[in-house]
Amino acid sequence: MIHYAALPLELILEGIDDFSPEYVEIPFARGHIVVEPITPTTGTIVQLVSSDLMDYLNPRFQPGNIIELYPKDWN
Amino acid sequence: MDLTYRRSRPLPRRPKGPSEPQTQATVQQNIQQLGQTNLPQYSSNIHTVSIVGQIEGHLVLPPQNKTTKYEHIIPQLVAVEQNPKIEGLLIVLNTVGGDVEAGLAIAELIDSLSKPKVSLVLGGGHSIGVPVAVAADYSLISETATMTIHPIRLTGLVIGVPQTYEYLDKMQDRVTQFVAKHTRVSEEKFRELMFNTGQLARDIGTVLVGKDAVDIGLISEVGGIGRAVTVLTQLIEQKRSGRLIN
Repeated sequence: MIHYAALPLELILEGIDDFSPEYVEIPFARGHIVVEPITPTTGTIVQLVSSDLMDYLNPRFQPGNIIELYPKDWN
Repeated sequence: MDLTYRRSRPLPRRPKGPSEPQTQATVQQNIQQLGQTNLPQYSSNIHTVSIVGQIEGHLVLPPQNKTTKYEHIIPQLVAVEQNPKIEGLLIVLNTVGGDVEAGLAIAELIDSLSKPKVSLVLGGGHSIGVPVAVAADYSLISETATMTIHPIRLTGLVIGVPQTYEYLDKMQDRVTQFVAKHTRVSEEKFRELMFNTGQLARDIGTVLVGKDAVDIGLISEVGGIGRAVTVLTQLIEQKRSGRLIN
């Protein structure tokens, strides 16, 4: 990886050795959502993998959004 | 034929009382839970992509970094290209830089988009943010925003052989060539800015503040969001009338 940033690299990568996030994959009709759990029932969206491009324009699926881990309906 | 008189049951009555208190309750709930009110429903023909913090590429960065993930921006740009309701793209940048591959991938996608696109640099558009900013048809920078142009440094295990330097040089060329192709700045001039001494305390390079970026030919104009939307609307109009060919 080549990182090209105005910030010093030691600041960017600080704590990378201890950084091991645990992700959960939530399947839905068109793919799955990678979520980092924050409470037993909610999590923050990390990544969306969907076969429908329009899902990437949906604010609901934006990374950083907090969602329920056990949704009734994701469609 | 009117069938309403045949109904065995009367039409369901609207719930008593105005809907106002309910809406207010929802708004209050939203303020409590999310710290924001409901946004008015309005669909625009302009899609905005904001690129903030680090442009995150092949490596997940530690949590102290604010990042924009390229795996989300890339399909979003493909969706923008495909969605007939979206006629223009506005890219708002406030980035310190990031992964070269990810940044160039986003820049190339923005460049090859067939719809009008305008970029606006707010705060900062540093390092790999430069090619992303100049990839649009028209670029703007706010008066106080800065763009830092500096050399690429190698990270990780560095092997001290001449090929290492050549590799680094090649990586730098990718950025330089992209910028030279999309702006009035020549490759030589961009390299000169990259290796400028005396401006940065702990690095070599150049800091361009607002107007400097325009004077040098990197950015089209100094302006804010109002101007950016006006320009984009004009470009959309030109595209509709067939005067803008991408």
